[in-house]
Amino acid sequence: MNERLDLHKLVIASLMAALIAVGGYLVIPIGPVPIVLQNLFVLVAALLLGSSWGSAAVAVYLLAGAVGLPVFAGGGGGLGHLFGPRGGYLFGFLAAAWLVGKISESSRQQPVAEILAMIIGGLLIYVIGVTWLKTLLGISFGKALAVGMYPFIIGDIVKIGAAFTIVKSVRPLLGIARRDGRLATPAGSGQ
Amino acid sequence: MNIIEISGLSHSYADGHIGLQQINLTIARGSFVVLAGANGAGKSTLLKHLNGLLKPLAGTVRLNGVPVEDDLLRARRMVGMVFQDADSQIVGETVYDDAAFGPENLNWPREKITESVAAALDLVGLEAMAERSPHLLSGGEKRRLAIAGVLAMQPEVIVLDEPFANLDYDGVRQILAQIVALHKAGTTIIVCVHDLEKVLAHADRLIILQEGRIAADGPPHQVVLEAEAYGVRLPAAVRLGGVVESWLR
Amino acid sequence: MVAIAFGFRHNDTLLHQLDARIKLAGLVAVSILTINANMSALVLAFFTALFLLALGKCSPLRCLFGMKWYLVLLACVLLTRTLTTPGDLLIESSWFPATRQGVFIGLLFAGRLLVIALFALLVTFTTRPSHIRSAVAWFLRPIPGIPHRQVATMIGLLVRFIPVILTQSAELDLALRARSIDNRRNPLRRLTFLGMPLLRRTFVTADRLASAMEARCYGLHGTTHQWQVTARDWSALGFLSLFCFLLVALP
Ligand SMILES: Nc1ncnc2c1ncn2[C@@H]1O[C@H](COP(=O)(O)OP(=O)(O)OP(=O)(O)O)[C@@H](O)[C@H]1O
Ligand SMILES: [Mg+2]
Repeated sequence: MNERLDLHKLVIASLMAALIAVGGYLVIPIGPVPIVLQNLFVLVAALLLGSSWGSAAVAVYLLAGAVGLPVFAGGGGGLGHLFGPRGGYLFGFLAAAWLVGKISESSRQQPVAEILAMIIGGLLIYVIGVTWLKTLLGISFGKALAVGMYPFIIGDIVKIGAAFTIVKSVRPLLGIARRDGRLATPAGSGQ
Repeated sequence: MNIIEISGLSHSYADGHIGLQQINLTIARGSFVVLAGANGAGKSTLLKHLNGLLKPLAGTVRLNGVPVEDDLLRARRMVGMVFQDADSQIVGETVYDDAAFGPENLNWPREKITESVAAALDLVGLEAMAERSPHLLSGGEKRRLAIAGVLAMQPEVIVLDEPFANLDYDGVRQILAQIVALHKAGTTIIVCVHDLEKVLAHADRLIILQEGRIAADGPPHQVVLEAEAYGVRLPAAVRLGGVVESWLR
Repeated sequence: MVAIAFGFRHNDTLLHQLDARIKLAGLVAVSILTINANMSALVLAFFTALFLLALGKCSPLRCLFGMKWYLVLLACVLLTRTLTTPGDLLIESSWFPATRQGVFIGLLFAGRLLVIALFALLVTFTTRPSHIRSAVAWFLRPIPGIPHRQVATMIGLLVRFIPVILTQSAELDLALRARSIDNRRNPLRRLTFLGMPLLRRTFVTADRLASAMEARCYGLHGTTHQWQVTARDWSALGFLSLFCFLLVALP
C-alpha cells in the first residue's frame, strides 16, 4: 500500500521537476521585467507534494542540471549554473520547497496558512539568492536587491495567487482522492 | 481450466461513484474474450482489478487459484496490460529501453532481457526502430510498442483496453494480426472495445457490461444480437443477417 | 523543441564510447577544481575543453546556441566585476570606471563559469541520457538514505516529461487560438486559459503513467545497467587524474 502511493508521488514529483525546468524556458513578456515561471512551480510542488517529495522534486531538478542534462534556463551549463549568478536562487528553491511544504503539512492545508507559507518561501528564495548574487558580483546589498529582487516582487505576488489557484484545481485530480478510495477497502485486503 | 476467476467483485470510487457491482466471471485459459459496453460501463475499472491496480471493495479476483492481492508482482507478471492511452505508457527514452522496462523491474538477468525484448520487438515489427525516440513514433507504432513492452514480460494473459482507438485501417489490421497471432500461440486474450466489428470474428466469447454489471455473456454470434440494447453498436453485417467477417481477410 | 531535452547526438567518437561514470566523475571533479582555479589553470582548462569538444565532434555553433542565455549572464558578471573592482583605471572617465584589476578578476570569474559550462556541454552532447541516469544511480548507490534507483527513475521521467509539456503547450496554444483567445486582451487571463487546462492534462497523464509503471512491475529493485570497463576507460581515468592534478598544481 505504501509502495503504491510512493510510485504515484514519485511520478508527480518528476513531473513537477520537469515543470520547474520548462518554467525556466517559457518567459512571459508582461511589463518591463519578463516573468519566469520557475518559482511558481517550486511553490506548487511544495504545496501538492509536501516537504519531502516537494524538495525531492527540486533536488532532482538540480541534480539533473548538475550532471549536464539541459534543464536549466538558458541552456546547458551543468554545475556552472549552480555556481553562477542564479545559483543562489536555485539553492533557494530547494530550501523554500521544504519550508513551504512543512508549513502546509503542519497547518493541514488551510488556505491562509498556505498563502502565508508561500510568502515566507518566496522571501527565503530572495534571502539566499540576493546574498549569493552580492557575493559573486562583489556589489553592495542595495544594488543586489535592486537587480535581484525589487523588479520581480509584483510578478511574485501574482504568482502566489496563481500557485494557489493551480493547487486548488489540481489537488482533486491526484492521489488524495485515491487514498480515500483505498481507506474504504476492507481491512485485510490491504498489503 | 480457468486462469481467471472473479467472484462477487464490487468497486466504488472515492467520490462514491459505483464502478462495478457483483461481478462473477471465469475465463478459461487460452480463450479470446471481447468485453464491450458503452462509455462509463466500467470496462476499464474491471480490467484494472485483474492485476491489482485497483483494489476491490468486496469480492476477489483469483489468477490460477491465487488471489491477486496475495502476490501483486506475480499478478502483474501474469497479466500484461496495454492501456487505453498509448502516449502515457511510454517510460523509456528509446524504443528498446521502453520495451525493456518491465523485464528490468522483474530483475531478470541481462541476457534474458536482451533476448526477450528482441523477440517482443521482432513480433510487433519494431526491431528496426529500437534506437528511435518513442515520442516520435506514429500512433499505431506507439500502440505496437506498448504491446511489445508487455510481451517482453512474457505474460500468460494479455489485456488490451481499446487497442484500436485512433488507428487507421492498416493500423487496425496490424494490431489485430498481432493479437490473433498471440492467441494462436496460446496466450489468453481479453480485449475491450466499443466497436465489435473489428474483433468479433476472432473472439470465442463476448461479454457486455452495463452500469458496472454483466448484462450479457456467451458465444459472440448469440450475444451480439442483444448488443444494441446495451448501447453497443450492432456490426453492419449482423444487422443485414450475416456474420462478422475477419478484418484480416 | 525536442532538441532542448535531447542534446545527445549519436556518434562514434572516442568520447561517445567512454564509460559514462568516468565522464560524470570528470565533470564533477573538473567543475569543483575550476571554481577555484587560477588564471594559468583556467587557460589550460579552457583549451582542453575546446580540444575535447573538437574530439567529440560537437559543432561550435551548437555549443554557442546551447548556452546563449548563459553567455549573457557571464557577460554581466564580467561587466560588473570590471566596473566595481577598485584599482588602476583603464580609461579616465567617471561613468565607465573600468580597472585593470577589474578586467582580470572579471575574466577569471566569468572564465571559470564558462569552462564549467563547456565541460558540461561536452558530457551532454556525448552521453546518452539513459547512461547519465545509470551513472548517477551508480554513484548514489553507496550513499545511505538515498534511494538511488528512484532518483535515477525520476531523472529519466524528468527528461521524458519536458518534450511532452512543450509539445502540449504548443498544441494547446493553437487550439485556443482557433477559439479566438487572441481577443482577450488581458495577458493574465490568457495565461489562465492556456495554463490551467495544460496543467490539468499533464497531471492526468502523469497519473496514468504511474499506473502503467505499476502494471509493469516498477519497484525498489531491478536489473541494473551493465558496465563494461575497457583499457580505454582506465587510460581516460589516468588522463583525468593528471588533468585534475595540473589544475591544482599550476602556479
Ligand atoms: N478515478 C475515478 N474517480 C471517480 N469515478 C471514476 C474514476 N474513474 C472512472 N470513474 C467512473 O467510473 C465509471 C466507469 O469508468 P470506466 O473507466 O471503467 O468506464 P469504461 O467502460 O472504461 O468507459 P470508456 O469506454 O469510456 O473507457 C464511469 O462512470 C467513470 O466516470
Ligand atoms: Mg475505458
